[in-house]
Parts: sequence; C-alpha cells; structure tokens
Amino acid sequence: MMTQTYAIFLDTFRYLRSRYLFWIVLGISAIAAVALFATYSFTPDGLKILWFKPIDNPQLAQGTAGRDMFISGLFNGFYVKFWLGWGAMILALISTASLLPDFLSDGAIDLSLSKPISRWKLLLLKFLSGMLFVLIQLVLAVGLAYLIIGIRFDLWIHAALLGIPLLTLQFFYLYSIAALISVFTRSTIATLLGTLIAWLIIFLAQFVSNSFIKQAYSTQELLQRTEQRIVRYEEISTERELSSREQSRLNSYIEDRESHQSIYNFVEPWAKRSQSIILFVPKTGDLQKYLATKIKAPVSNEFFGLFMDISNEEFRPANMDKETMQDALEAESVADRAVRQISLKKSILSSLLACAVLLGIATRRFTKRDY
Amino acid sequence: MTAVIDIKGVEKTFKRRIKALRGVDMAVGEGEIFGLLGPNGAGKSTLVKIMMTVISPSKCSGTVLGQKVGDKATLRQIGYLPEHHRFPPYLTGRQVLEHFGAMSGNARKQRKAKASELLELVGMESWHKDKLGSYSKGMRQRVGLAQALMNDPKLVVLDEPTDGVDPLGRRDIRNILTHLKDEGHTIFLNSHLLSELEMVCDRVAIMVKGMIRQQGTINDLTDGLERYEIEIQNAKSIDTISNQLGSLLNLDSPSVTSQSNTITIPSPDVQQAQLAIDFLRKQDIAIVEIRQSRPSLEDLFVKAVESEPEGHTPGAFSGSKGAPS
Repeated sequence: MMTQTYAIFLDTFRYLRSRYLFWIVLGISAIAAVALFATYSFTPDGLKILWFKPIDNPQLAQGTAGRDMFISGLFNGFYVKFWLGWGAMILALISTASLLPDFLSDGAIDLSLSKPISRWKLLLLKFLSGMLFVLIQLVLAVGLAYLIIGIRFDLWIHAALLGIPLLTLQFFYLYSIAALISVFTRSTIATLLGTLIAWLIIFLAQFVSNSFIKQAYSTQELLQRTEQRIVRYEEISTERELSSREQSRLNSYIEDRESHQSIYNFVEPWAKRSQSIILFVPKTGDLQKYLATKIKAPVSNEFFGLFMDISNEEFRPANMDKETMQDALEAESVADRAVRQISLKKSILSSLLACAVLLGIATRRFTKRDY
Repeated sequence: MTAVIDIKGVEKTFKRRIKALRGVDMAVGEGEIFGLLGPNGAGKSTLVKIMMTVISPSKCSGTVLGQKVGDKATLRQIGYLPEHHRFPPYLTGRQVLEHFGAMSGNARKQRKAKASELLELVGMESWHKDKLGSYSKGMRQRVGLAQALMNDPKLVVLDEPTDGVDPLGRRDIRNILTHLKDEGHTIFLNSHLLSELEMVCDRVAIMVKGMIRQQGTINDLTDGLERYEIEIQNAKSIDTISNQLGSLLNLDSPSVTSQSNTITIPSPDVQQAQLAIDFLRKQDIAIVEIRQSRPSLEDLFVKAVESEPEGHTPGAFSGSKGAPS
C-alpha cells in the first residue's frame, strides 16, 4: 500500500511539474511576496517605498502598532485574499482540472484498475495527490512571505503559517467538487467550468450570508449607540427642560432607533436562515476569516484609517453629520470583526461533511463503473 | 496441466440490452501461449477486461490463478498490456516501468533492476531517458510490453500487443513471447492478427459474437480437416476438371475446389488422392506437385465467423471494439 501511495504521489508530482502553470504560479507568488513585503521600509517618521521620498505618517512609524497592522493588513487583504485565495486558487484549479479526467480516460484507467489496489483507494489517493499542487505552492508562497516579513521587519507572524493548512483545506473543498464532476464526465473542461461555477455559487451564498450578518451586527451596534444617546437625553430631561435643539436631536434619535429596530427585525432572522443554508456547503470563506482573526489583521476601515481620516468631510455624505458618520464607520468595523468570528470546528466539520458526501458519490460511481 | 485461467459461463450485458458476452467457457493451461481470436466487436477485449477487473461481469464463475475472477490480490501475479493504452506522456520509458512496477507492489530495488533488464529485453535501453510523448507507436508498444512484465507475472495478458508495430518489431515481440514461455510464464494473447497467433500459440479459441465457437490446439481444431492440394499444368479448364473430380470422388460438402492451377481435395483419405491422380493422368494433365496440408488458422476463423446463423443478434458492438464507457 505504501509503495502504491508513493507511486501515485510521485506520478502526480511529475505530472504537475510538467505543467507550465506550476512554475508560473510559483513565480507570481514570489513576485507578489517581494512586492508586498520587500519594497518598503519603516522610518521613525513613517514609510519609505523603494527609493522614493519618505512619507510622513506617525501611525506607520517604526515600532508602532500601526506598522504591524499595516503588514498584517497587506498579508491578509492582498496576499491571502486576492492572490493565494483567488488568483492562485483558480490557476491551481486550471492546472489540476485535467488530473482526474486524464487518469480516468480510456487507455489510461485500464492499467491502473488492473493493479492490486482497490478502486476506492485508487481514486482517493489520486484525489489527495492532486492537493500536492496547492500544498507545495502554499508552503513556498506563505513560507516566503513569512520569512521576508520576519527578516525585514523583525515581525514573526507565526499565525501566518496557518495559511498553509487553511488554504490547502480551501482547495480541498473545491477539489472535492472537481473530483465528483471528473468521475461523472471524464472531461477537463466540464470539471473546470463546473468547479468554477460551483465556487461562484458558494461565494455568492457566503457573500449574501455575510451581508446579512454584517448588516445585523452593524444595525445592532447602531441601535445600542442610539439607545445610549436617548437614555442620556432622557436623563438630562429629568433634571432640566431640554433646549429646542436638544429636543430635536432626541426626536431624531428616537426616529433613528425605530428605523434601526425595524431593519434589525428584518435582517436578523435572514442572517440566521442564511447561516443555516450555508451550513450544508463547503465554506471556503470561513477559512480566510479564521486566518485573518489569528493574524490580527485589521478590518478595512482600520486599514484605510492608517492613511486617512475617512470620517472627515471629504468622504462624508452631505446629509450626514460627523457623529453619525463616525457611528456608521465604527458600527461597520464592529460588524466586520463580528463576521470574522466563526466557529472553526463547526465550519470545518460541516464543510468536510459536505465534501465527504461529494467524494462518497464520486467513489461509489467509480467503483461501480465499467471502463 | 494446471489451469491458470478456468472460467465458465461468463456473461456481460451493457446497459441492460447489449449482450457482449453470452456464456464464455475457457481454460488456459500453465506455461502455454493461448490465443484468443475473433473479429472486431466479438467481445475479446471485454473478456480480457473482466479478467483484469476493469469491467465487472454480469455472470461469471471460475478462477484465474486459482482465485475467483475479480480478486484484486491475484492481480499482483498478472501482467497486462491493454489495447489502445495511453501511458503518461510526461514520463520517460524507465519511469513508466518503475511507476507501474510500484503500482503492482514491487519494492524499489527490485523495480530498478527489473526495469533495466526489461528495457534491454524489448530493445528500448537507448531511449529509456526520453519522454513517452516523443516515442513512436511501436516504441510505446515495446515499453507497454515491458511494463506488463515488471512484476514478473505468472500470467501475462496481452491485448493486441503487435498493434502498430512494424514487421521487425512483431518478430521481436514473438521472440519475447517464446522466451517468456520458456521461462514458464503463461501468456494470454488477444489478437486479430491470425498469422501472429498461428506462429506462437499452443492453443487458440475463436470467439464470435460473444461466444467461444472453437477452442483447442491448432492441430485439434484442424484434425480431420487435412486435405490434398494438387498443382497441375496444361489444363484447359480447371473448373470443369474440378467438377468432374467432385462427381468422381463423391465427397460431401465441402467439395473439390480449384484456384489458379491448384485443385484441393478436402479429404485426409490418401485413396481419394490416388483416384484423383489417376483421373488427372488419364486426362493427360501434368501434375507439378502434390502436397498434404491442413487448414490455416485463417481458414478456421473465416469458417467460424461465416457459419454464424443468419439473423443472430450481434453480441458486441458493430463498428467498435471493447466496452462502451
């Protein structure tokens, strides 16, 4: 069994190595890591990019918490989210989409099936060997970023290494779908398109669910803040009569409370329903959320807040005062952080259950089929 | 002789309506080269795939190497070269051998040594570092044959091994088969190249429309079918002479036939040949040569195929070989 496992993994490694995309993805990962983490440095007054004039920004100055937030924000928001989680993942799917269809094609499968190994083991080993592509890429890409950040900035984000198993698991979810389509169609195009479409559907389902959750948390936060202000004004009103401006303000808060309450009452049940629905699909996004939490990556408002005051008049809508804008931004940050708070165990177990069903169907089909 | 393959009543129906095999009984003895022949779509590859567990039979009893058909562990002792095989083009010849050797469960050291030995045997040692994508069909076939021998199998199953191989290559493969037989391997050969089979096989089976029509040694199959061929000269009308001879000898079907300058007396009886000679001499016809011969495998094959009853539902797939996928 060990000899056969070794043979299957070695064969897949050679297969992947023979594909140009393997090297292209590796090259882009290296370029991205260097571009994101090796092209700037921090000075006592701010940031210096390559040979350009230093940018004064006390929030990003050497030794500040802002600097660490900036680096982990780049790692999470750009390197993991956009490149490793999307770009590299799509290229990995393109590279490995033909692995199982080729293995199952006429003339190739006969030989494998005629060897002393059971069909289910054969399929599962071939499937797992397909994970090699992403595993190798991630070890090198995440490892490189980890080393560059550590050596250049003396900032060793050990949790970043969690990106290797977590993103490999993300690919596992997608590759389970690919395996099912491969076994039924034996077509590379169908496998690739089917997997990408399934991924898009999963993404949209998660996006909708996240939007409801975010809206629910954000509205809840606004509701609490409005409630506190109303209580404050009501306390003042017990001591003295409110001025007309204060009364108008209180009335406005009471209106806001009703509005927030109404939104919350609508959104909250949908947030729960959507969570129940996505419980039955492989949740690719949850893994990135967990990673973001572990590396203490800033939420978007916090990250952009390092460079600009996003509550000032330049960005504020005309009909919104500074306090309301500040509330909205803070509520959004609270909601962003809340969305990241997932139960990893529940997410992984339910996702793996969904994958087990997909792989179970694929294995059953493979073991029963004549080739 | 111990039976290496002893299968009975093998049936296979695809998609509940296409009967590819209709109760095949077959026995292959240890150490022999056994040839399975039949026209395209006869079900030969389906039968081979059932033995190799690539296809599951609808019905089957019997054994391969003493174990029930479909037993995975038995495959460790079987080497297989499928028809229309497709080896990974990104592997070199040596890597193909080592990969499939490992898939058969061979240890690393054993694989390395065996691969070198087999590459030499099939004449591919000079190309062992080249990728299969650059190989010709014949070269791939040689590597395929070597691959089937990587686990030092007791039984070697070869499906159309000379497909795409030039005459010299075919001769080499025949020599290898003979060499393997001498080493004690049992070889099951599936081919529609009758001359190939005739040259190397100890026993053959003829399969037509999913059934074995004849089975045995070529001598067994041609026993009683010996004939005399008389080559003549200066005959005005050979067809007339042949008809006259037919009446004289009073033979049952098949009757006396003629082709070019040769008259064939379809009887092993030497007296009949004597009568024919006397008749020809009386007619003042010069006899150039008289020889006793047996029907060729091709004759047996054609006879078996043509004797299929009219209106019989085809057992396999018209216009295609092997199983649908």
